[in-house]
Amino acid sequence: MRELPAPGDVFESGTIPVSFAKMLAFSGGPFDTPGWPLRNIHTDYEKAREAGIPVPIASGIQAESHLVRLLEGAFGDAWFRTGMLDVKHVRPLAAGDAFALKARVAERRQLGEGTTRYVLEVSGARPDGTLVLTGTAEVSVER
Amino acid sequence: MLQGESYEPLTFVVAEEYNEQYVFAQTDYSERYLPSPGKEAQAHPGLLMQMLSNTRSPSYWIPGGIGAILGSAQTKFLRPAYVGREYKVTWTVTQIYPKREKQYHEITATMYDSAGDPVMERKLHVTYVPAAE
Repeated sequence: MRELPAPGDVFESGTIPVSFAKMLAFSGGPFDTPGWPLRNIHTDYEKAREAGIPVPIASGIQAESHLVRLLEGAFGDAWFRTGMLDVKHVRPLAAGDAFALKARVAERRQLGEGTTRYVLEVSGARPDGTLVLTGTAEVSVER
Repeated sequence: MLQGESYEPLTFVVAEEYNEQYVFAQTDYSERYLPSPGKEAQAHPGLLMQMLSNTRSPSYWIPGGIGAILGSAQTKFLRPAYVGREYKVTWTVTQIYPKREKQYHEITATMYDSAGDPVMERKLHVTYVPAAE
């Protein structure tokens, strides 16, 4: 049985590299789509330029998905039944960037016998500290 | 789209290969997302959140020269989803509001399983800007 987190505990992702190959896999649609990848600002240089962006940027959903991985690692199956994530995308990421995610337990409270609700502050930043996302997460754990 | 209007819903089946594409994209080789004898593979959350994007609606359209930006999102995970099962996604514009001289649409996207039970809900806060902006 995993140990329950306590207020102040911090979960960290380590450095996550952003690659164009993985942006294509995430945002390009199924590999077997005729003409793959789907052309959008996440997969196509011309579409990005048309949108006023010099290079394709990673989907914000892709960064959120990494955050879910971090929280699932911390809270297990409970995340998929009670998890709540509130994320603001501050700056985009492009191929060649790297970032790291952090989730800090801000609050722990009993909801009833055997159920604990956690509130976490979440953030993502480039190695130089530039914020890319920020927000909160909540999850209930039965014990 | 006006407040209260809905996009055309989408019904889809989580294909094993598409799920594994998200496993690769996120370098997330957790056994929960991979098929194994006697156990259903869970749908990757990246795939699910992607399918709740309003761009996935068959009726999604924006004029040329306009870009859509996802500013923020609130997501509720309500039950796991699985590879090989069918799901339905609905989208409704639940609010239109101004913020920092831009107009934002709050779009509530909900994914249901075949029993009609909600699997995931996302409130997407999207703004539409001229492409050059």
